[in-house]
Amino acid sequence: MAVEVAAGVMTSPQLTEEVAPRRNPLRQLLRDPLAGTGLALVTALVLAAVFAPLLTPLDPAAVDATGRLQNPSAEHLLGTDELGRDLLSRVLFGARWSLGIAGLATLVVMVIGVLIGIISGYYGGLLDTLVMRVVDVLLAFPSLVLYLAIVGTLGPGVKNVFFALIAISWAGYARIVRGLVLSARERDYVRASLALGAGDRRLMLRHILPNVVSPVVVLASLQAGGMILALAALGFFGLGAQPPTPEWGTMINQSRLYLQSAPMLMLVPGLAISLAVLGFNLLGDGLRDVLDPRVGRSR
Amino acid sequence: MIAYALRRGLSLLPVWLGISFVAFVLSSLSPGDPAQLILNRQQDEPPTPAQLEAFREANGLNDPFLVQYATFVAGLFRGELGTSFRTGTPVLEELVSRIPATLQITVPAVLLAVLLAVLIGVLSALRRNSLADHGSRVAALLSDSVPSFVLAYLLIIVFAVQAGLLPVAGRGGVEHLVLPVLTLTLATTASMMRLTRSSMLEVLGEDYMRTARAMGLPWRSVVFQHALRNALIPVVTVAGLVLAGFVTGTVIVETVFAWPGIGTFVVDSIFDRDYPVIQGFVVFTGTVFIVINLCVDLLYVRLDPRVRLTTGRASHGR
Amino acid sequence: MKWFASLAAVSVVATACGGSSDSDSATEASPEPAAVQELVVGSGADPWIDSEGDRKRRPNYPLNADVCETLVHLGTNFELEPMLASKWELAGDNTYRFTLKDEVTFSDGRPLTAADVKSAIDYTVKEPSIGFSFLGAESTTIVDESTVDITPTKPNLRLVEQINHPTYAVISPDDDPLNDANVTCTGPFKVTSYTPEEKLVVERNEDYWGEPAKLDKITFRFFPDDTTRVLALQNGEVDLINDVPRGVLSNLESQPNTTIETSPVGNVTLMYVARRDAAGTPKTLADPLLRRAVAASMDTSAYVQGLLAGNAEEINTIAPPEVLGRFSDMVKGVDYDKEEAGRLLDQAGWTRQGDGIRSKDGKPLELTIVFGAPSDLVTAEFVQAQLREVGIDGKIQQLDAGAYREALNTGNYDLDISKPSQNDANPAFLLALRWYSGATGKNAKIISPGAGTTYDGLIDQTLQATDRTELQRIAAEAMHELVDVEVGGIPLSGNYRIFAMNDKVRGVELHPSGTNQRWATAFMAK
Repeated sequence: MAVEVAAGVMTSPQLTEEVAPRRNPLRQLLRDPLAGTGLALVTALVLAAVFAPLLTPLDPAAVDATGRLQNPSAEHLLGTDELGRDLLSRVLFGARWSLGIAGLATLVVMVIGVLIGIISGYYGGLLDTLVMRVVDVLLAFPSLVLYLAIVGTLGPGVKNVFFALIAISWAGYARIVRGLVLSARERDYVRASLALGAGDRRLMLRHILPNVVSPVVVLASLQAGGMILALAALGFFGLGAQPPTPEWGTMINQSRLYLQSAPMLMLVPGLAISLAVLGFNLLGDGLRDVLDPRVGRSR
Repeated sequence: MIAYALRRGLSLLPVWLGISFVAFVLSSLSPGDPAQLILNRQQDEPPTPAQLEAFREANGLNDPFLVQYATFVAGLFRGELGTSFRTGTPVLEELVSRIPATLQITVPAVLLAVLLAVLIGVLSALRRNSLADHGSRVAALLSDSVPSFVLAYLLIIVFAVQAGLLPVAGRGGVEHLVLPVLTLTLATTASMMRLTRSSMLEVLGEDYMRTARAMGLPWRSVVFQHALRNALIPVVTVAGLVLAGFVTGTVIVETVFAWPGIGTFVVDSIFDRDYPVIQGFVVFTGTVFIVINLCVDLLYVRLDPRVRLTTGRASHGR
Repeated sequence: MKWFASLAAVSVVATACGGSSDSDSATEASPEPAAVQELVVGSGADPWIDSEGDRKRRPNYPLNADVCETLVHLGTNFELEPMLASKWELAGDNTYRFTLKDEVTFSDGRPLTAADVKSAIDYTVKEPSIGFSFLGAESTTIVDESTVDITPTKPNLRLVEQINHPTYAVISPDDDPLNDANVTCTGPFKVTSYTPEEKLVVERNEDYWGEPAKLDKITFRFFPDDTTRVLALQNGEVDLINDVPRGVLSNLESQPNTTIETSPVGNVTLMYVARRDAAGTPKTLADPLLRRAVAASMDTSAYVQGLLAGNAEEINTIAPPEVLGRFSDMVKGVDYDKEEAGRLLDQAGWTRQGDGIRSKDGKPLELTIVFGAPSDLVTAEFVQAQLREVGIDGKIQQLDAGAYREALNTGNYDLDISKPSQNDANPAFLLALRWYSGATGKNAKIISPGAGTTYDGLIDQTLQATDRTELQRIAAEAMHELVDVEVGGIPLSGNYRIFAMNDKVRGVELHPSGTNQRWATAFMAK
């Protein structure tokens, strides 16, 4: 559905006694052609983003008033945009923004979500009830509405978009981790170490975190796609990265007038977004199959 | 049933309060002094300190945070969502006046999406690994990855610009409905479809299904009378999430197709920093959302006789 | 010098216009009118719902559907023409006397009287911010059935050039134009229906007092989005679109059965320069060296010939040159000169740092660029890129109506990209409305050279001039002071209005001012 951040990922993974699979997960992942494709897409895009300045010698912000809307040529492999800027450079440098922000946000959100989940599940009580209510609201509510509301209130720009992504997206992790913590607490060995007087923090780190890794990694890779979509949507509304920053959603927003005369301006960033999201979705699905085999395929 | 509905409704009250709190906190995030902001829009001269103070006093901006929140919630119960800076009309009135336009594209899209999702979902479950099954998987993957605004522009390029068959945008006759409804449907069907499929597969694997088949009941009646009904239960449960997709989808689709519904109004308001509308929209969406979830719950009860109405919370997992 | 470049541009435009009228005349030898005389116009955003408290007087302003009329009309050459009044003359030091035409009737058949005129003007002057005409409740007096006197509250001989603005249109006294679009007026069309944000439908006023309209019906449909408006023309949803985005003009020109028509220059894309905030505290651009540097860093020729693909004119004035008559050459404009800009910035103490952005006392040289029309984003990005070349960091903010107004009111910006139109016959219209320190326009405080300056003195003089040539000379001098000396406004391009229509639409006479557009001569050919 592509408008909503990975709604289907809430399938709470059941905890198995031995969560970490014994087989080599990477090899297993590569055996699945779809997951392999996903990994390849993600790797390619990340490499493109990292080596963007090497891949294209042209400055993505360099305006050339007399060279606007050019067709693809040797100099401009994908042509130029409405300000004569090189489209290829803009898409490649755009990958830095889209993947960079989405990646960073995913990491930050993961840490915050896992912490909140552990604390909530471990201490329980009123705190847990409150946190889970908030999680309920955040997960059920159409996240784009909240993104729009937050960025709309704070004002457009990368910083505020980043804040909005983080403020909303931690809930999925918190719920999964809390569930894992709750069931781990019931485990004999945890009870035993509790009885032996193991401290709170040690207990959490030693016994809970390792079990959390797999589902969190699966969720993160699925959510990264959702983050890219959300970023693109905010960019499309003109609320994301501000000019002259090349961000994919913003590029689509600005290319609308040239739907006919230069459809490449829309198709290229549109394709870039789609491939990035597809890559992360395939990778996430594959990871879920490999790391969390008890959870059936949802698609 | 009514008692159950009431109880369920009451249990959603804290969630609604949570949403209203989020909306309220939002307004305090807004950069700048609201008194400055509003007065600067209302008058030609920059406001004097005395005017600012008088405005703050009159609008309760000097009250403690919690008092302001209580006033806000009390207002909500009276149906007051504030007044739009931009149009000077109550926000609720503005939103309500745009509901018909929004429903005009969402209702057909929801119906179409449900129909398609169930049809193709069941089909690809019954014919696993068939062409239809693989096709639906690919379609689902694509529709999960292609942003709906890109999809919308692709449809516009193909059907409106190249073929010239349909209008590009705007509200008008039935022909204006086709592309927005199609975009919205395509953007939301896939996940529902895959869900129907996996849930159908699960049900088909259940013991009672095998028993039913072993007993020699006709396959068709097994599928349609037993399996489908049971398979739809999780689908209905997740319908809430799918509806979230519709809400966000509407905002995007309305923007692309210049459809004068709630979505475009809110997006315009965002650019105008019309904070009361942004705030009101969050509360409004939240309320609609809770009501829909309540309906979904009730539908769930109707579909699944195992849910005892006496248990406070339906046992469907959340 | 720029003038010869702009002359060249004029000739390019002339050929462009000539080209389209050539193709017209080929088929237009004697175009047969079609049986159905209905026109669908794709217009921009519904102009009556654009900002809070600003529900403009429907249905005559700001979209002119030719429903209501004014005492005098603004001709396409910015000269005055009789409309409801047959003549006007000075009757005293500061009083204009208007004699109404006998034959004028409202669309309901009632004859126009002096009382109707008084009522309409009284209604208009009740509204705040109508600019610079100094009209009050007592200003309009009825002399007899067909004569009114109008006396501004302050000496203002420009009244007659101002009163052709459609905001002074005569609407039947019983109507409530702010709340009900269905008003009774005297024009060749009358309102059938108005659906906010969707459409305005007008039909021919069968009892029009003048030459009746040829069209039976015009539907103005609102397309806020440039893209959808253009596409709506291409797939035949509308017959004509006004204000074609310049970025796609060449694309439209190559379409079959599509005619492009242009008007004389009617508005100027320019940058207002914020000198101080609302409290009077000087801003970065209070420094005249900086203002000049900003102007010198703008390669307006590249902007017009490149970015706008030559679909505009290079210009030195901040209003259509035609309103200044033969004096428009007095305004020279600041020439594009990057090196000069750099020198000026150095001289002002802003020096280049490592990343190329200049700074002074550790403060980077940042300017906030605001604009309200989404189509100006490209212009804003161009300005940003030009500023960057001389070491100025431009921050772009796109704002919608209310937020834009707020920014202009508070002075929370440095450069404001806008396209003010010359909507009346007063050559000092924009000069007085925007930059005169005593103007009611919101941003005058922020951008005006200030009370007591040479500039303000010249604007005061324009109020007194009795002779039009003298008036044009004073206005040109004021504009020279503003653009060349003060650098209080930086013109980027002179824009003519561009309509694109299918080749069935004939007889549309484009007015350089959108609010003065007339439709009565348009018709559909077979």
